[in-house]
Amino acid sequence: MELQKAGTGLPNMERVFIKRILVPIVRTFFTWEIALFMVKREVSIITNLTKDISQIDMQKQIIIDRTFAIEDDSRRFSIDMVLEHLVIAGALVKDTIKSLSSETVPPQEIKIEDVKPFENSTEALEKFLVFYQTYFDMIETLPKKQSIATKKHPWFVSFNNFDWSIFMYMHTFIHRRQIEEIISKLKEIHE
Amino acid sequence: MSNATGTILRAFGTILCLIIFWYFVVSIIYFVITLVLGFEFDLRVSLALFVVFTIFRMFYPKNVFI
Repeated sequence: MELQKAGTGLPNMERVFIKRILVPIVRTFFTWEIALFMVKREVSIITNLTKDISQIDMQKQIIIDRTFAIEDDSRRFSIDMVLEHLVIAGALVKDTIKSLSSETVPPQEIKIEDVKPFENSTEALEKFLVFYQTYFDMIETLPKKQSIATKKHPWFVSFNNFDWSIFMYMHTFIHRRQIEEIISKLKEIHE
Repeated sequence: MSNATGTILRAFGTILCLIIFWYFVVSIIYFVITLVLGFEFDLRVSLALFVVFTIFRMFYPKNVFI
């Protein structure tokens, strides 16, 4: 099956729905603490989902049906690749939050193609857990002040440090759902 | 149900939980004020206060639509 290339983006309806409806709603009802709590919850769910999966299955790439807010190219990821992507993109988000918190706009442009996984490594889960712990530590010690400085997300609008912390939750949640879909396809294969 | 539909429903479920959470926070504060000042708790007033709180959150500390 031929998938669209990396960086193609989301279908227009989905992108506008997120940009015009979901983003304003979550900005209204989230706080720093709620966003952090939700990210921790997602990491806990992902850990539970993946703990009993064999290493072969963790690295198996199967094409899944499109899941919400995931571009076509990402449909062929293995679970390890999803975790690797969460670490690569998460590190960029973490640096962006840190930088915006001191009112400095990171100079580099954020590109979706740059946060794609490339290793499919057996150590992905371990790296994922280590990375998220560093993220939790950073947010817990960060002064909870919304920055005036913003950095644009390539698909949506300009986010300040607080918005990026909510994005971290939404992004982890969307990819947790992708992992659930991969696991469901793996089960179908094994049956 | 498809994974995509399930994701959208979960997202709205989370938002609904947050709306209920904030409604309770606003209502509890209003309830304490009614006890301290000795007037009656009115459900319509609590809902109106929640709407005011939501509008306030939409524009402070930043405009959520920009």
